[in-house]
Amino acid sequence: MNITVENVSKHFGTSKTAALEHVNLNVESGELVALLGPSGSGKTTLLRAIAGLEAPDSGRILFDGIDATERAPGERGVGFVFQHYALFKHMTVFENVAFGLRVRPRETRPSNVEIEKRVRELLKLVQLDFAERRHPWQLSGGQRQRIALARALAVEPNVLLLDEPFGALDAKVREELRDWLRRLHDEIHLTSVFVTHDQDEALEIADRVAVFNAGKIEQLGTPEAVYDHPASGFVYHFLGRSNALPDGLVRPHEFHVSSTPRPGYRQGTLKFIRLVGANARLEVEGEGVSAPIEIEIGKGQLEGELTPGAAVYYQPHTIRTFPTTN
Amino acid sequence: MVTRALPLPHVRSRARQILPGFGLSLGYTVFYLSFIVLIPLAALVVKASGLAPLEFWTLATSPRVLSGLRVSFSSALVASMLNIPIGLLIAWVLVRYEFPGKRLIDALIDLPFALPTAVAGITLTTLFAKTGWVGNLLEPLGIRVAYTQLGIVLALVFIGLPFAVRSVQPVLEGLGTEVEEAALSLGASWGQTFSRVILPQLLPAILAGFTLAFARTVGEYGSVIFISGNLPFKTEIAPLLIVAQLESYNYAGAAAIAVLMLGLSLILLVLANLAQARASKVVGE
Repeated sequence: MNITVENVSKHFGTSKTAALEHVNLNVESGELVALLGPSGSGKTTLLRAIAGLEAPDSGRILFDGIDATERAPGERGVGFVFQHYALFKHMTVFENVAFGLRVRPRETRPSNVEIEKRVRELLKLVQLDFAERRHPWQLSGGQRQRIALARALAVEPNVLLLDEPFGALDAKVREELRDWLRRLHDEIHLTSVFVTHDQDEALEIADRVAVFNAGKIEQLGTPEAVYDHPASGFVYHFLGRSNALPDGLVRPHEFHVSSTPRPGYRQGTLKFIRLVGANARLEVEGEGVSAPIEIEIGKGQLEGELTPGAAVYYQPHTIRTFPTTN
Repeated sequence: MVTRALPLPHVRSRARQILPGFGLSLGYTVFYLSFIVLIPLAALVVKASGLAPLEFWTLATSPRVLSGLRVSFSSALVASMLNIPIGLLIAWVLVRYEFPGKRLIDALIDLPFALPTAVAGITLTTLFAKTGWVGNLLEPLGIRVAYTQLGIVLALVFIGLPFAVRSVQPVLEGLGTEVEEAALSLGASWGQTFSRVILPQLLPAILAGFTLAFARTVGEYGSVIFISGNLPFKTEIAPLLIVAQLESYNYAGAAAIAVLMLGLSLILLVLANLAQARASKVVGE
């Protein structure tokens, strides 16, 4: 299903700044879009507005071109996954997943046999078929989130909305679930929108990324487009680490480094060097640069012997400038 | 990677408590419980045993005592049940909505705790008597509150309300709105969301509130004696019979009725606690 967000604005309480300010977004059918931004930038508010859990002050939300702004959450055909799972803790895993089917009106409610079949299929899909009789509190965070996902999918939604779905999980589980979600999406092609403040997560699994800043979408595009061609200093900063040199912004991996002076290289003092894995991480104090410069390049690209405290020569090979850097 | 348990430098035969003060705090707990609860209750039983078994049985099954116990227990049960929905509603309003005067209302809830019960009883009687502000409105409808069991229930609802509200309020706060939103987005109606998602998770707290309100009101004396009219076999409560026995210097008789109340209350409280434990287990706490 195609989702269109048309000129949506939302204020909370008496605060002067808007949670959303005239936001426009189009999510194509079958697409996986990430809403990326710092906390308080409006990304969750937009997701909740799409789900019908938040009413926009103005603007419209359309599903397949039909206005759904006034539709109740249960009538939108959306599956919503919460950051803290929001599982029904007094129900077993099975009953959690079955909930959306059991509460249907009698005419559309599947028979118990069908419900059982459907729930088992979903539990198999999220690889938790062994846990159907357990209660949520007996499961780990990653397992709980997979149950929450199965529960959302049980109602056969047209749209899947995920609010920081991996935010409460350990780094390793988060990566596993992230890859798993990408594969799942490739399999079932459900139009999906997920909110995250983790740029790696957004860049790795989304088809397109919408970068939020202060209630507005600062840039919308494929991960490659937003990373390689950031539209503003904000996007550049938010998508990765950066160094502010007098003549512009440089990412840590965009440097040449040498222990001996070379034409075009600048001089600095090596404060710190660490060789872990395939990369070398350097901290260099440069002339006319206030903060230490972070450099991260392949070990093989280091020229000469580098010792902390000694002089080091560096050259940024890509410098970016933006009209206003914030 | 191979990990191996390192031998502890000094292995104690008994597991050492890391959190300090267990012995001391348990000692004090047992001491205070004995001093404040167990010894007086034991003294009560000893006093009642001054009656021969037959005397005790005759007194216990006398129509007036049976009627008193019936009035006390049935009024407390009905009042505590009425307090469940009222308490839930008030807790709901206080947790879920923001409105001017919210803090004032929140503070008002505890007033029945602080108010001398006799004052509550006299106030309610004045209001609900035939000529009172509320009573004269109900009179034409044929509803009499003062000097009936309805009046006793009313007084007990007033006394028990804080327990019903304060037990549910923190749990409702902890529940948050996410599970509700989850249920709504899965297509549940609001009624289904309430009965299938919210209520089961509040059940242990509701039962706790009910139990506390019941325990507090079953022996309530001060507020009830004013509004009940104390008609024997109709609105005479068991605590009043105890006082009557005391006033005629029949201490053993007073203790006997007290022991009866104690026994019945204990049975009901144990049942309520079992129900609460079951409900808590389902919620996973």
